[in-house]
Amino acid sequence: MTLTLDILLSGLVLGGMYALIALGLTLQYGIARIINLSYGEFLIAAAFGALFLYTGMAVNPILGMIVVVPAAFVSNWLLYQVVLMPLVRRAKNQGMLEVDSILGTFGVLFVIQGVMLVTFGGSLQSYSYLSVPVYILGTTLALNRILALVFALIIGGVLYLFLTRTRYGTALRAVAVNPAAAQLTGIDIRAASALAFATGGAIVGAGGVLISMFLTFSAAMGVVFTMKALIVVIMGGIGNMLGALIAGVLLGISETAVARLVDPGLTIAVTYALFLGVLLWRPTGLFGRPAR
Amino acid sequence: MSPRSIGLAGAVLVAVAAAAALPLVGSGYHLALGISLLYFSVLATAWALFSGPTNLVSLATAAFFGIGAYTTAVLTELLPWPVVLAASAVVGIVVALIVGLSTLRLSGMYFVIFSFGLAELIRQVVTWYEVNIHGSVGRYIFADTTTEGIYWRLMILLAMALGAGWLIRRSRLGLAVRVIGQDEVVARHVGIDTTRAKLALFAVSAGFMTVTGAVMAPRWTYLDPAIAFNPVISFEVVIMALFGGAGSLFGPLLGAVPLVLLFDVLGAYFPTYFSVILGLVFVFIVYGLPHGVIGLLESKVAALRRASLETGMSAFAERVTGPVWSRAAAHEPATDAPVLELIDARKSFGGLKAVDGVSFTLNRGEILGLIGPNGSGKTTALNLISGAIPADAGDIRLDGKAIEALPPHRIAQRGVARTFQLVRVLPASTCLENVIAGLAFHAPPLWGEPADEKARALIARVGLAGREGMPAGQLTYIDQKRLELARALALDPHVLLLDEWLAGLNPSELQDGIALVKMLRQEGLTIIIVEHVMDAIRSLCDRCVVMNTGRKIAEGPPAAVLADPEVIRAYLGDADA
Amino acid sequence: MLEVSGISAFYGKHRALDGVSLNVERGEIVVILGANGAGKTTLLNAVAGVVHAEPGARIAISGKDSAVRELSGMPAHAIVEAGIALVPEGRGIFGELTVRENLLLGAYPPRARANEAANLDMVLGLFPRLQERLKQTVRTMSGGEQQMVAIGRALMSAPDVLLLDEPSLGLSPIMCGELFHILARIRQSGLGILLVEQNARQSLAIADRGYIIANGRIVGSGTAEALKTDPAVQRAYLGAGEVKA
Repeated sequence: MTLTLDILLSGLVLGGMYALIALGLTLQYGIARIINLSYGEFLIAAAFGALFLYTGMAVNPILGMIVVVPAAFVSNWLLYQVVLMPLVRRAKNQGMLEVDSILGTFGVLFVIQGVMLVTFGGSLQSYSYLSVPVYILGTTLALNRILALVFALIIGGVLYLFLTRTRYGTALRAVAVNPAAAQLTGIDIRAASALAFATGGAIVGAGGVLISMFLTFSAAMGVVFTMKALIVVIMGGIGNMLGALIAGVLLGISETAVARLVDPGLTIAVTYALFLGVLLWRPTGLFGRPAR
Repeated sequence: MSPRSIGLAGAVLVAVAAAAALPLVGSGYHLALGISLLYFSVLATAWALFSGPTNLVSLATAAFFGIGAYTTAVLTELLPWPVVLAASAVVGIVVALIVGLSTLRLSGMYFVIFSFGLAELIRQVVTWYEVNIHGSVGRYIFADTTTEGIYWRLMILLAMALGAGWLIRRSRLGLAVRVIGQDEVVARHVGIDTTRAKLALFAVSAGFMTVTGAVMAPRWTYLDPAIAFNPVISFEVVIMALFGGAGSLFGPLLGAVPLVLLFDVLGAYFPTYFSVILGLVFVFIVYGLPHGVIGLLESKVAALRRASLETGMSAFAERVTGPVWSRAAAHEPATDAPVLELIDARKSFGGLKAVDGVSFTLNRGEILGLIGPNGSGKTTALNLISGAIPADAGDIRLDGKAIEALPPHRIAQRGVARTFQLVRVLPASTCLENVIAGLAFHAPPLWGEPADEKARALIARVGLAGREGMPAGQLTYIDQKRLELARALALDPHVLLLDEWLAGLNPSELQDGIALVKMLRQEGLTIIIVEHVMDAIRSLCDRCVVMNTGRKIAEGPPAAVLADPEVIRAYLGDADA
Repeated sequence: MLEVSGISAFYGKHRALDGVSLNVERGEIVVILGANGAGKTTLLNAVAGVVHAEPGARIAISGKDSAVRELSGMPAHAIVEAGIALVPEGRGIFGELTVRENLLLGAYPPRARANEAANLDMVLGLFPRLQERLKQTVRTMSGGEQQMVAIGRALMSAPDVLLLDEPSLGLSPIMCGELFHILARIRQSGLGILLVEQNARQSLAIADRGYIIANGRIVGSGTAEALKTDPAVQRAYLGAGEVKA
């Protein structure tokens, strides 16, 4: 009973993180139409940023987000404008942009990863911030995990309100739904895409800071997060925020369960098993609408 | 044989002999470098076998390479070498089939993402097995082989990979993936089982990668999952293939040689910045050389460009790769039933009822005009017949047999050919290849000399003689339409569906077009035309079916239906509604 | 108000528009008639900046301030800001968004933001049916209601000229009648309307002038009264038993 609750709570925290970073990827893929294979590298870079601020300058990670998140926003905006824009201009259709963006960001992945390996080395990193146990319903959960979940909820909530309640947010959703029609309402699609891409980057930056508070990480781990984010997005149905939330939590809980009950080394296997199951059962995702 | 090709063959022979002699004369360093050159050449060639023509980027090279290495590690002390290599090929192909079956039916993106994590997935599973079942993470490989042996084995493997590529390019399988890569919809409508073609090629490509891993395994006397499933391999292979040019047979080789040397230098002098430089090189290639070195050369040298367009057909290649295809159903003999029947066919998109309970029959040898104002559901009706989209309800029968549940390639093989409203040719293929694509996948398929002859005859028939070798993308709009008709006729159809084939023609072209369609009917074809050019309808059609808002509103001879008040109202609108 | 001259456009290698010139004045409904594939949609798309027009074309608009603005070569979003709103064929609505969101997106261009609330009232006055469905997801609505959303959204950008591409497509006859009635009302507010229609009779009934387009060229024009009885109109749709050069 305690074990079940323990798995559920830890899984919920992890799943909340997955859902958050999947949300950022949804912005990048759904609106800017870029499959960004270097996405997870920004998560790890943000985690290193938080580590540096905390251990080097004694700034706590939550405050550190004030620095790290805008930095992630700006670097992703630049990545879109400088590196990806030529590909966007060159692409004659959606398919070409998909292939080109996969290849281009694949290269970017190795550049960022390489820089981090040179700067921080390849070893596992972690720091101890608020790792005090909190007793919940007879089991314990570290305070930093609770805090991470709370912030993930806040960020997700703010993003949700931004997308649904503001003019710019609605414009971003309009680009996701129908880019051809969006330009007819006076929306500059390229500017909107850059904004969405940068916002996605800011979110994964925030995710990186939150995850660094309770997980060990290394310079080589970005790919794993990219993969999980991509898979959560597809499982939830591309562009579907609620779907991403549910798929993220589902993945977090399944992973935690397998890690506790079978082997912690099998998390990707779980991810793929879920992915395959969903693909075979519903090829457009749990909440995706069948394509025309 | 011309003196020039004898010279060329001689030069190749000398180069191969020199390469084979390297282990006998070179130092240990040279041998190691030679091995790197060879194994990356095999991997890049194998990668381009599948990803080149299909444009489906596979990031799973490391997965198959690692599987091969592990197969050797496990089996080498139990079985002789040839059996170990064969076993590794089998394992690799089985994994490729499982991955392919679950993802290649779906959108290409799913395949890419799945391949992205495959190496990590298999690494985790192998690690778990080794730790929990086998008892230790790593394994020592005591293979009875030498470095020279590995080198020569890789040489043979490279020759086999290039040979396989050469054969596939000259077989129907190669044509099939070239068509799929350019336009999957066209591929299905000329009778290509697209999933099967992609799956077969992915499996072949994975097989070569796996065997490369198996051959290479003894290079590491100690193997653990982190070494075997190193993701950088996937990355390096993609760069090499793209740099050389994934679209041609020797492109990957051309990319592998300079990049292996470059990486070797980089690894020696800038070990810490290796990954950064790798990434930058990659980004540069994606931007600067989207078609690789070969593409650059082809854009500069006309002779190379011409050579790249020519892909011969070989009966031998076809015999080797033929087993990939299932035997297509033979043409059924004509029966007394109408050629085609639609019975209460329905299709909605969201709330829009595009085809709302339409029934009509098509009699043998007639031309039926399917007409109606814009948005009335004519093209959707054609799409239901050709299988491009499945009907929600209703029956569609061809020669009395139900076809509504069949995929488009099966319907095409049964003798339904079509053209598209927005003309669809294969822009990068020659006109000849465009038409051969129509000949090669119907039952029984034509290949080699007979296909070439028939294709040239069809091209001449639609008035394009002399342009057989021109890429279809360079034809004018009207000529693309002619070529598309030639491709449809190549299927040797009983039923031909023409979707606004006469639209956009000038008056004299229109007369030619009408005469051509009339001649096709005289030869016994049964034709449905969707058309807005009413003069064509009047002079061609035996009967017309008029549609409006998804329903059939009139049926009969053209003169009668075009005078029908309800039809006129449908076209011109009603001023007093 | 809207002045177009010498506009040409290619669709791949196919010349879809060949030197078309036309104009639309304030408070005028101008209809473009022609068979499918004649170039009607390409014409509207080229004016709206969705399709690239060949160099040498002139597209100019003079708004309420009567300053003339040159629009050729501008991107689509800037043309909306200049005062031209296109309701594309197939409506181009945001199916996953609500009616309210669709309409408010119409007021995205800065020119429309100041009067957003007043314009919304105006649109809901024109289409009372949308008032009760502001929170409904547009995808779930009927074709006619979706068309109302599309037109309403275009009006929310406070345009000087409204371009409509086959608004009657897929509508029932009753819906169609209602639609044309509303277009006549919109004209009264001083907008210029350029209408591409298959429904020749109904559109000519409300139009002031019309052009007939064939093979990418204007082949006839005149007042709506004159075009109603012109056999060329019927020929454009149903042919005449002979091939016309």
